[in-house]
Amino acid sequence: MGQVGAAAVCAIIALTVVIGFVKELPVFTLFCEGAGSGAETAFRLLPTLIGLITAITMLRASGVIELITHVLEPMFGQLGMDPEIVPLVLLRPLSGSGAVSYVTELMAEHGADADVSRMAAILSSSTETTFYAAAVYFGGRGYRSVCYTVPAALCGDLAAVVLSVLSIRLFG
Amino acid sequence: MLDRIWAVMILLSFLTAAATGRLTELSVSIGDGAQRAVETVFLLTGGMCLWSGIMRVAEGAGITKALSRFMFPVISVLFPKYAKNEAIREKIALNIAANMFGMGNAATPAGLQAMDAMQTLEKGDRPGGEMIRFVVLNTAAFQLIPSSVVMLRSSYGSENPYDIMVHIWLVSLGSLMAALAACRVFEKLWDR
Repeated sequence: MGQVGAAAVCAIIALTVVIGFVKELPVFTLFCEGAGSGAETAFRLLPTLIGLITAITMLRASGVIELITHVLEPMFGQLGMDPEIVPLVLLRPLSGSGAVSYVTELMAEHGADADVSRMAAILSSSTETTFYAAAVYFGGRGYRSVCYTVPAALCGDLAAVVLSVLSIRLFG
Repeated sequence: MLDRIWAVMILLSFLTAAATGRLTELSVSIGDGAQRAVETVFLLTGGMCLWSGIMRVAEGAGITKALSRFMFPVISVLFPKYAKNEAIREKIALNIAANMFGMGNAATPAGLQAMDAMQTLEKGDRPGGEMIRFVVLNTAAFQLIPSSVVMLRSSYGSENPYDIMVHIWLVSLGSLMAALAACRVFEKLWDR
């Protein structure tokens, strides 16, 4: 299945270029035009990402995630959830790379097929990095308020936590 | 909102670090964070340029038009106001399709172009309801083949790294529905 994904990416690029070429389009000129706009997009993200990633790195270095984990762990325990999932719940909306490295740690410690590792894998693949996406799409647009974007997105993240626990319980 | 979240993040890290005696670590992390952001943008740039280029060819060849026509039923339900605008609909279709195939580097430029186009039609100092829904959709992306986690699991000796795929589909669809439902509810509450 992993190969299917890889094949799809190659096929999409090859097919697009071939269809364009058959239609007698200046494919390389078009490609360069688009690639130029891609570079602009990437650099437009720079200020937003410097602000956001710095704040998130600070948050992780300060130990506040461990602190909140300590507070939340008993609650999760009472709900029948593995307390080791708590740091992932907090990290996932903030940092994609942070979440992946925590999932990796869990797999190294408990094995990839342990319930807690599977739950972590499900949770981390079922949502996106909420704050990153909100900042990337709204950053630098000059809005004074982005209204209910973050609360609504966090509702989705919370639902993902509940559903990933349920999915393990129901389907094993 | 973003202003408030950013300020709270920084204040919270300062207070926690001061209380737990980790101010040295915190000061080191500030420089690291800024540098990591630049590295992230550098790592993104190649993929973004490549996919923006391919998407430009696909536009010229009429492929994105076909895709957006194919996805019209979904897009017109989610974004009734902008589904009639062909340029915006094409970008939204590309963004959703790229997200489903796990091609984030293609999804982001298409999504930003869709946002740019929507912003020119939307006056005021806050985004419109459909712009918010579009961003929320991108915070809850649905992926057909979660290849990176499958690879991670197989490298840690999982007997069947794909056995969580159905779980992931169900959980991500459910969380997507919850996020969209929350949008609908908050949209009504917000104006009052």
